[in-house]
Amino acid sequence: MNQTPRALRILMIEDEAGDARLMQVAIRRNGFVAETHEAHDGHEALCFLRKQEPYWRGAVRPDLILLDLKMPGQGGLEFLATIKADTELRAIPVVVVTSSLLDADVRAAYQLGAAGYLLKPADLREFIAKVRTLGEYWFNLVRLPHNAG
Amino acid sequence: MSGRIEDPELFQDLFAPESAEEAAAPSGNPWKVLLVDDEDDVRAVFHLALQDVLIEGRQLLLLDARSAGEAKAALATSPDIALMLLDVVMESDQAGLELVHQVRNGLANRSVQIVLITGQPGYAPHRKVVSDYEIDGYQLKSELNAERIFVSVSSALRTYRLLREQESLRRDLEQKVQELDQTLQALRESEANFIRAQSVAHVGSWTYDLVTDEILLSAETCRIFGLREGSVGNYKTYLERVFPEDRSGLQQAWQAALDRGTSFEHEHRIMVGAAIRHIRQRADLTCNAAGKPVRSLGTTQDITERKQAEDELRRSNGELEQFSYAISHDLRQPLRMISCYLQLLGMSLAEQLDAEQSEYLNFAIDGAKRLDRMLVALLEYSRVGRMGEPLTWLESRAIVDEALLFLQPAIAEAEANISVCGKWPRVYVRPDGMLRVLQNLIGNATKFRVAGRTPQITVASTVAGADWCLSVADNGIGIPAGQLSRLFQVFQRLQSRVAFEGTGVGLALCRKIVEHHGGRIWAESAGEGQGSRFSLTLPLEGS
Repeated sequence: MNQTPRALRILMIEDEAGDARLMQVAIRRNGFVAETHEAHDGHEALCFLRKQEPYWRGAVRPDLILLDLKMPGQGGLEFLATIKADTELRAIPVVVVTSSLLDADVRAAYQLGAAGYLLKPADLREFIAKVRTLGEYWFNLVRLPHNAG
Repeated sequence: MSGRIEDPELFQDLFAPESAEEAAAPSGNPWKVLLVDDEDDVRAVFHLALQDVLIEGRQLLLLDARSAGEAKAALATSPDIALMLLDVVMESDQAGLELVHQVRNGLANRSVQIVLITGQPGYAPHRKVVSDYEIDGYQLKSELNAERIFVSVSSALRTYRLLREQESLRRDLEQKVQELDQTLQALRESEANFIRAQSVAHVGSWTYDLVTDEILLSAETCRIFGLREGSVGNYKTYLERVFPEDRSGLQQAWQAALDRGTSFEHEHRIMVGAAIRHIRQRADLTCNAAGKPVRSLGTTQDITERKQAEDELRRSNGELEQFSYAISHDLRQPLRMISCYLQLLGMSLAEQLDAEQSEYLNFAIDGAKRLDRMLVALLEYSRVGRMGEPLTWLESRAIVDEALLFLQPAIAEAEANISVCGKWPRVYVRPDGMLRVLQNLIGNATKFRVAGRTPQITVASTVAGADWCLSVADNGIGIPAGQLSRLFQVFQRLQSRVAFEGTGVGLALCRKIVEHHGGRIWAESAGEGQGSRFSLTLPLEGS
């Protein structure tokens, strides 16, 4: 049950176009209605969230952030630390979606305030199934803060 | 040879016990007294005069000799004769004096006391006899009476005792001096060895007198510090040689040792000219009666080479960590693109692909997915021992239970009978590592089963001395002879992937984990279809 009258707004921070597209495919194939935005590294994402030049005039505040860890420029953990220290932005849940198996990354992500840590599998069906579970949780189960766009 | 002998009756009274001391029971060995006289009645007089006499609490044992020859034989067989009462004129006029000469020079007996008894004073002038023959007393038969005999005998025996005591003291002293010489010699050798050992081990020593603030350095310590041999320092000059960044740490550690008054151990860098050396200082403190440290004895070990090797190891571990990360991410990302987009393509083209084309696509997708699993397994393998999971005391049985819980679905599917038996000790292990080993071994026993045969799996534990022995035995497909050695190598598969899925890393991972615990792992099998047994031993106390 979606509590907002509009589509869930997702900011996907991912440098790989292929991975970003796979996420779009998985969301669509599961039948979720989402408004997805993309940023290619932490810096772009912060500009989007703070509605700063040069990238994101007229950007919206997302309901959920999906964050890759390894990106050129500002990396995922650094972005996570920045946004969780920002009183305006820290209420937005951030789910890490990565292929890093390192325990150190998992620990650091949760320590910095990640809401979840999802491993990208090599199998498409498995990935679609994971995104279904993820979506059922964030789209249907939990209530998110009601944000003015 | 005859002399005037006083009334023997007189002796009885004279030598009657006079005091409690003399009446006391005799103790110790009797004094041996040799009576040398060719006249029987002279010796009888002495026997009478000296019977029942105690001198210094000891009785007398009187031995008789009727000639110089007999006396010489007696002295030769009993060297502990204390006193010889000797008649001068016997076989010849000079027989007594000749005997004295033989005793002193021939037998080299200088301790026996010799008192001459003679009836002919002219044959033995007092002064000349005494000095030439080392005579201890001189009695004329004409003057003999019980009192004189007693005084003469007891004084001679006391002298004898003193002489013997003196001699024994001298011998003791000689022995002590000899022992001391040997000890000194051993000490010199030991010091020489110590100096050699210091130089071989690159370990020097030093002493620090906290009262005078003076540090004495051994030759090797001087070498380590690049100082002249025999250099002396103090707290301040020492600190000046320490690498500036390490000074406060050293001062704190030293102060803490002084406060505790026990021992000191610290590693720091020192400056030797333009070079930096790493050293380890260890020392013991000696405290005064008030518990205040006054002196310290320590060693200096040059650990520069070890430190350099450690730095190198850290650097190379860091690189390996980087490489692992690269595998886990950089290689797997493109692989994921291949497999996922091939699958997507397959879904899009589903209607248009014939059976053969679908198969091609599936081979490609399976290959990519398998490669991904292998990369993950390899990553896991490379991380064993580097992730620093600490050793923990654990109930070994609990590890098995956890592994069984994890494997429950596979065990249920295989309808396997698992029996856990034996003595399960507490073990000092890395919990995740050991759990992984047990999961792999029990998982393999469940997986490599013979179709139509109910898997019987026995997990047994024993304690043998200081080792924990664990085995997992099954009635599965077994291992062909000659293949046992390949089992524990990375990516070695003995079975086709079609029959048994797997990455080929499991047992290699087990071996690495077990060896990292200081243990070993091996497999046994009677052959194909005969089941197999995997065993491992680990030191109970950890490695």
